[in-house]
Amino acid sequence: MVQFTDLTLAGLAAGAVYAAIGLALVLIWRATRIVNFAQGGMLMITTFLAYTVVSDGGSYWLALAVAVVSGLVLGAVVERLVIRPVENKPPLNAVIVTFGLLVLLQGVAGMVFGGTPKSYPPAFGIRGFVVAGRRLLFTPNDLWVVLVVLAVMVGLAAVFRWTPLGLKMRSAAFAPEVARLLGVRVGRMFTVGWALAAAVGALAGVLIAPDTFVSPNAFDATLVFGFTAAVVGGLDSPPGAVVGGLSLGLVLSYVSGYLGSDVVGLGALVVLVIVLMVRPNGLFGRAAGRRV
Amino acid sequence: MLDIAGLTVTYGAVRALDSVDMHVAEGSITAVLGANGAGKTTLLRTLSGLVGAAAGTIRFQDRKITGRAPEDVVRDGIAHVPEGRGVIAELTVEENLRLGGLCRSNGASARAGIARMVALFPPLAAARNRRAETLSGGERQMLAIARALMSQPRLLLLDEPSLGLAPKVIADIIRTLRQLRDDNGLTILLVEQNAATALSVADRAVVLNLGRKVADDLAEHLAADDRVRHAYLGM
Amino acid sequence: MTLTETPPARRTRGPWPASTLVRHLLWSAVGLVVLYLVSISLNQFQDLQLAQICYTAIAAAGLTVLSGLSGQISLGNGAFMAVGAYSTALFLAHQQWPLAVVLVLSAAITAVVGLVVGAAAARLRGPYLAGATLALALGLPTLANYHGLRDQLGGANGLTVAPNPPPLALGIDFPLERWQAWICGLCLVITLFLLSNLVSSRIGRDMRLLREDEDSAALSGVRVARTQVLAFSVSAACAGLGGGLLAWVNSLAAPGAFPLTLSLSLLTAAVLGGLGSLAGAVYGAVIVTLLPAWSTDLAQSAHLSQSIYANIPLVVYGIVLFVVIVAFPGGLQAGFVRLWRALRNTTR
Repeated sequence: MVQFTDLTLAGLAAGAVYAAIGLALVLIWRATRIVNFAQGGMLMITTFLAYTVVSDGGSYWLALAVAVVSGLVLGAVVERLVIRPVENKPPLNAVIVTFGLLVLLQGVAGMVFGGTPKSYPPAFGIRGFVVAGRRLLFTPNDLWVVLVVLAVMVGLAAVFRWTPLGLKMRSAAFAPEVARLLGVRVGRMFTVGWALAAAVGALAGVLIAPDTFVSPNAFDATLVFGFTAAVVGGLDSPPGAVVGGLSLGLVLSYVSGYLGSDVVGLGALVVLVIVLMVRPNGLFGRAAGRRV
Repeated sequence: MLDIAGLTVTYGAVRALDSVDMHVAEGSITAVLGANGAGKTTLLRTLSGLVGAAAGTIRFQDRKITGRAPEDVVRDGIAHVPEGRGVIAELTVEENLRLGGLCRSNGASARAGIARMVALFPPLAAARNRRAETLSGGERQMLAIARALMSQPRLLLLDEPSLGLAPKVIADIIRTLRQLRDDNGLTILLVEQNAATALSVADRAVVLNLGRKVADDLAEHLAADDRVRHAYLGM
Repeated sequence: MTLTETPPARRTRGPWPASTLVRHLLWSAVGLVVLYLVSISLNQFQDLQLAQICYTAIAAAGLTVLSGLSGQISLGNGAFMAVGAYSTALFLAHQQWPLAVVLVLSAAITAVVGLVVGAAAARLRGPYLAGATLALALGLPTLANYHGLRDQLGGANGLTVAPNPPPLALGIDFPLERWQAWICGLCLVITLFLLSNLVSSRIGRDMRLLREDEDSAALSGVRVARTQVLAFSVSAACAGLGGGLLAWVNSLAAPGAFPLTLSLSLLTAAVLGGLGSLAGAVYGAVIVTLLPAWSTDLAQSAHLSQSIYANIPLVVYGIVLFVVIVAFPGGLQAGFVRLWRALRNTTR
C-alpha cells in the first residue's frame, strides 16, 4: 500500500510533464494539422538555454522566463521557415521535415553544448513531504510541476474559448479558407499556434530537466510519452492531453515499480493499444466527419 | 460600385473566365447565371481574392482590388458566402457570428451585431449556443449569410444559396435578401443555377457560358428572352 | 498475325497480364546484373554498405507499399525488423536449417505479427495510427529486455549470429562481405519482383482505391479491413526479411539495433524516394544508409573537434531531409519522372 501511494504520486508528477508535452503537440495539431516530431528537440534547445542562465549564476525563475520566451521565438521561427513549405503538402512530408528538424537540433545542440548530461536545479525542495509521520516520495518540486501544468492548461483553455485570438486560431485550424474570407490572417494564426506550443514545451522541458538532466537525447523518451499522451487523450482535445498524460504517468509508474523499468516502453504501448481499440480517436477525440 | 474589366482566370490550360466585363450598381441585386462549369463560382472567388486573375481589373468603389488577399478584401467591404456555405461546424452559432465580426471590432458592437442578426434570422436564436454542425441546411445558409453580414459589407457575394434547400426555405432567404437591399441598401451579387429563383429577386442578370459573358441585361428582359432561357438557363 | 498463328499465350490464372509479369522479370534480371557488377567493383567495407542498403531497401519497399499504396502511416516498421531479426537469430542458433529457409520463416512469422498489428490497428487513421505504430516501435524491442525472457532473448546484449561463410565453390578467399551483399541483393530483387506484381495486381488496385477514398472504395466492393490488414502483413513480411538479413549481416540481434530512429529512417527512405514507388524505396535506402556514413567521413577528415564532427552527420542529415522534401514534395522518383518528361519535351 505504501509503495502504491509512492508510485501513484510519482506517476502524477511524471504524468504532468507528459501532459504538458502532449498539450504542446495537441496545440500544433489543432492549429496546423501537423504532428511535430521536433517538439522534443525544440524543448531541448530551450532547456539548454535555460541551463546556460542558471550555470552562469542566474536564478531559476529567470532561466524559466528565458526558456519560455525563447520557446515563443523558436516556435514562430520554425513555423515560418521550416514548416510553411510543407503545410499544404501530404502529411507525411511534414513528418519527415519535423524529423529532420529534430535530428538537426540534436546535432546543433551536440556541437554547441556537448554531449555530457548537465544537471539542472529543481525549483523547490526535493525531499518528500512528511505526512502522518512518513516521508512520501512526492516532493514540493513535484507539487509545483503538477500545479504549473494544470494552470497552463486552464490558461490555454481560457484563451481558446473566450478570447478573440483563440476564436481566430480555432477557425484557422478548422476551416482555413473560410477563415480567410472572414478576415482571419491564417498564416499568422499558425505562427502564433506554434509559438504557444513551443512555449508550453519549453516549460515542460524545464520542469522535467532535474530528472532527466540536460543533453541532446535526454528528452527522447519524454517526447514519445508525450505523444502517446496526446494520442490517448485525442489529438483534438487539450483536456484529453492532460488526462492522457496523467493516466499514462500513473500506468508507467506502476509498470516501472512492479514489473521493472526496462519494460516501461511496452507499458506505454499496451496503454495506447487498449485505449485506441476501444476509442480509435482517443478518449476525447471526435471522429472527423466528412465535410459534405 | 463594382467594375470588372477584361477579367480572365485560368486553371492551368483551362480558361475558367475569359475577358469578362461587368458593372454592378450600388444597392442592386445582380444575378450571375449559367450552367455548371460556366465560371460563376470562379468569378466570386476571384472577386473575394481566393483566386488570382491572369488578366483584367476589378475596381470596387473606385479602388483597384485585383490581387488583394481575401483577408484584406473583406475589410474593404466585400463579404463572400462561399459555395457549400462554409459554416464552421465545430464552432457554435454564436462563435461563427462573432468570428464574422472580428475584422471590424470586438466587444460591444459585436454583441449588438449578433443581436441584429438573430433578429433578422429568428431560427438562429434558438440555436445560438449549439454547434453549427447540428443545424439544418436552411439554418446553415442563414448562419452563413448572417456571419457575412457581421463584417458590415457594402457588397455581399452569395454562391448558390438555394442549393439543397426546400422551396419554403429558399423563399424565406430570398425575402431576406430583398429586405437587405431595400432597407439597408446592400449590394448583392447572387450566383445561382436555379435561374427562376434568382431572376425573381434580381434587378439585373448576367449569364456566363464556358467562362464568357453571353448576356447582360435587366432581369425581366432576360426572364422574357426565350433564346437565352433555353440555351443557357434550362428554363 | 495470320489465322494459323496462335495468339500470344495469356496467363488466365491470377489477375496479372502476361506482359507485366515479363516486364518485371526483365527488370529483375537487369537488377541482378547491376548488383553483381557493382558488388565486384567495391571493397569489403563498401560491400558491407551495399548489403546494408539492400536490407534497408527491402524494409523500405514494404513500408512504401503500406504507407504509399494503402495510405496507412506506420512509424513502427523497425519493430517488425526486430521480430525478423530475432526470429532469424533464434533459428540459426537452435536449428541447422539453410539460410534461405530461415529467412522465409522469419518473414512468415513477422507477417503473422503484422496481421495481428494490422487487425488491432484497423480502425485507426492518420495520426492515431502513427501514434500506435510509434509506441510499437518503442515498446516491442523492449520485450527483449524483459527479465522473464532474458535467457531466451539475450537481454540488452542480444543474440549473436554466427555468420555463414561463403560456399567453398566461390573460392577460399571470397570476401564475406561480398557474399553478404550478394545474398541481400538477391533477396532485394526477389522482394521487388514480388511487390511489383502485387502492386499491379487487383490487390494493389484495391489498396490504391482505399488510399484515395475509403468510403468509395467500400462502396465499390473493396473489403476495407481485409485489404488494410493484408497491407500491414505484407509490409511486416518485408521488414521481417530485412531484419533477418540485418541480424545475419551484423551477426547480432540486440534491442539497441532497433531504436525509434530506425523506424523513422525507414519512413524517411520511403518518403524521400516517393511514397508508393518501389524504385523510390531503393533511392531512399541509399540516402539514409550512405548519408550518415559519408558525412561522418567528411567530418572526421576535416579534423574538427570531437563534439563538432560527431554531430555533423546529424546536421547534414536534417538539412538534406528538409531540402529534398521541399524540392521534391512527391519524392525523388516523382521528381526524376518530371525532369525526364521536361527533358523529353524540350528535345521535341
